[in-house]
Amino acid sequence: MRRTQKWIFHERFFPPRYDQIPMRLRLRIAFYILGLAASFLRAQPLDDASTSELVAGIVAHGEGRGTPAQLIRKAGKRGVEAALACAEQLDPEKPRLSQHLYEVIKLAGRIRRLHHDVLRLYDPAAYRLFYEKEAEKEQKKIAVGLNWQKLPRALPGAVVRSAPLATFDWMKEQARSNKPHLEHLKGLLREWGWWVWNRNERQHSNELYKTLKLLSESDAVLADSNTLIALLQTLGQKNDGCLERRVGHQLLSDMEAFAIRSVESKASKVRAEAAGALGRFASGTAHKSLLQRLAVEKDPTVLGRIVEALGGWTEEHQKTGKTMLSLFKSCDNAGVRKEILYSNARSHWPNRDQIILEAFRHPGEGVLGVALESIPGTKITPEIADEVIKTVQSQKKRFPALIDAAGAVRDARAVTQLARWLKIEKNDAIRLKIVLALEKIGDGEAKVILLNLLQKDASAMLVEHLIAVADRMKLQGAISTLLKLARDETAPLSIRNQAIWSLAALDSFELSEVPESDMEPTEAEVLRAFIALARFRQEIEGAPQVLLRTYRSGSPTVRLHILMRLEEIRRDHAVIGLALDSSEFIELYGAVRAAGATNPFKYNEKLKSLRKSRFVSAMMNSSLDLLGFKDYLNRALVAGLMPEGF
Amino acid sequence: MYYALILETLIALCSPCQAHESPMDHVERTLRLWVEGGRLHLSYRIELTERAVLMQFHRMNKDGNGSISRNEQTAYFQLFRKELGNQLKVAISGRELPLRPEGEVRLSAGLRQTCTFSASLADLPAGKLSGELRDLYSQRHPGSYRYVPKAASGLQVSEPPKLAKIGNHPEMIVLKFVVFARAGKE
Repeated sequence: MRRTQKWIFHERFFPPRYDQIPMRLRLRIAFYILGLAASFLRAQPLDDASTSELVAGIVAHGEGRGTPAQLIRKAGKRGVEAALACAEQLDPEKPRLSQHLYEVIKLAGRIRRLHHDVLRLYDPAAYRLFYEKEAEKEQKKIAVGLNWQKLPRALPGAVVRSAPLATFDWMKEQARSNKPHLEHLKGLLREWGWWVWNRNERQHSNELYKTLKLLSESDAVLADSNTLIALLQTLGQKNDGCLERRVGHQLLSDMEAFAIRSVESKASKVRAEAAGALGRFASGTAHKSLLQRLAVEKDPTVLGRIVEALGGWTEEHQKTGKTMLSLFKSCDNAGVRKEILYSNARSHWPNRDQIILEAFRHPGEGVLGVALESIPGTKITPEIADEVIKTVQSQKKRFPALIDAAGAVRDARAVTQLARWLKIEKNDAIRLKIVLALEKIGDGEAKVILLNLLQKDASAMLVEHLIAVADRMKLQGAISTLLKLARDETAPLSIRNQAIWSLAALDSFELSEVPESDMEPTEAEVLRAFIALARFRQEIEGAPQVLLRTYRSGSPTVRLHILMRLEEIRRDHAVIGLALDSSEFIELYGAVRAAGATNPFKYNEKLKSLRKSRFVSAMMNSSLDLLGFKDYLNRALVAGLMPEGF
Repeated sequence: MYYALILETLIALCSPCQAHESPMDHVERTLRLWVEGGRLHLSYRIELTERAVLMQFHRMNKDGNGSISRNEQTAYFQLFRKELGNQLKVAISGRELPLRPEGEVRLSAGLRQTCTFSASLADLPAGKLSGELRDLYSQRHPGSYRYVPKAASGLQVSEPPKLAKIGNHPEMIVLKFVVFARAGKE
């Protein structure tokens, strides 16, 4: 029988093995797939089920196979009320059921990371559990599983989130015991580390470090290197470089002494973690002990961690930089050399350029790549420029760090090679890097290449960036192309918007000529906003009022576009003040950036009140992704200290 | 084994990548409609992001003391509900029905806010009438949405909620339904 193409295709990917799969297993797989499909079809919304019904559903599933995932997810969203209902059903004799119940408790307990008022309003049961008098007693019901022989997998996460006080008690008990449950402790320490690293701990930093201190005094913990490593990892899990100020000075000093002792441990993994933890202590003692260890350490992993720790050091740059240069020369391990370069990039060592130059002499195993990556942030000396140009001219293969470095040295000798790479490169992201490098060099030849590319290139992403480049470089030769693009109804909206915006900087182009027929309403709204922005940029009479109206009626996206463009041209407008009063993050974010760039002095009071707001502060000190909002706000506040027009 | 491997790879490929969050706080909304006592009821539940809740508190805390008082909470949510109600347009047989807020805005775990509105069906002719809910709030607050049917709701959803363009406006959520009205009763 003639086999179909489909079958041949199948055979190509599963040649003889498919036939070897026993029929029983094939049927089983088919059964699972059908079961999965049926569960989707059967799935009923559980919106009307009460919390106790959801928990009862999980209990009814009991020790059965599989996971009642939908019930767990739904119950978890019901908050701490569901967590407490689950705690009532925990049973050491039913490990699968307890695992499911702890999953719910873990999901519900996530809310503890939020501001206490959020708990009070949205989940009053959570507020009572974490902030009221009976808290500890209630938490003990959740932490009951800590005394079981075998911990359910979800228990550490559940108790760290939902029963912190009871967990501290248990950990302190273990610290005092001659035979602590080291396995359980390791799991808990790892979970605490994650929780703290994510900046979720709002309530109990003091208590956590007190508990860690007690554990660091336990002989049983000190004798077990794995638990010791977990303890040091938790101690070092602070991603903002400094431990809580609230934690007492004595407590910090005791923990530092513990890390210093551990950095002399016989186990290299312990030494490495101790070095990592010491990097978080901003004291001369920690620095001194790290430098002492560096002088005798042979293990490359530990050396790397010490170098990393010293990279964040803010004092004694001279001495540390000198030690690092000497280590770079003497150590032939590429990993350590790369670590030195990474630390070099974020440090203020006075001999940064010498370390980079040394990397050109030992380029192997990725060392050169790391050195090149740090060049854009370094003061370029003639020696570094020469080395980069030599590398650019001699390298057949192009790679992003080399292209960025070529741009950073701003040397016309790189243009020929960059132009050659531009012709053969297919990846748009790398081509964009070449374009930006040419923009930085900015000589006559680079301008010709960029203009030529703007006229001919077919990549929408690249053309959009080329228009912005033409705007920044004030390339008058680009005007006719930009006019065509702005009027081209078939061009992508982002290209048309960018062309309209850039034309306003280059020409007195009449913006009413831009057609918007057959456009989606959302797209037309954005296009009109760009026309209003361009008119404002051209300083046409009445344009500020039109821009204000466009802003008021605009969608959040349009509002952000307007604020970001005001930031770009550093021109003040009434919408910035309006947006600083907004309760939408997208607007506030754009407004803070625009206020900082345009007139920080004028907006200083509003910016200060934002900084003082407990809730904005809670947002900034959380693990929420704010796209650099905190830095923009701080920078704007500092800039606002200058008198207006300074 | 091969199948398991392929399945795992597919799941891994489908899982979202770690990247920056959007500056836009998306809103997850759940709509429910039912007829009771001669009135059409609408439950509109939104689930906010943590960032959006903190921003909301920042606005709510008028005295800036870092704590939300009962008065601040009431004032904020009354205004919010009024603004939301103005942006939810219900029309049956082409006639727009004014929505009246019912009860307080209910806050619940999962950072959820539920507002309930109702509209009188008394002036409508008896029979099977088609209706439409337009959610103008969704134009400025995009996000996911779903309709959860209620048992014995007294109406039938003819077209589940979907994004639609009406006139020269950005897309909004539109839900179409059929209601069985009885003349002159509330």
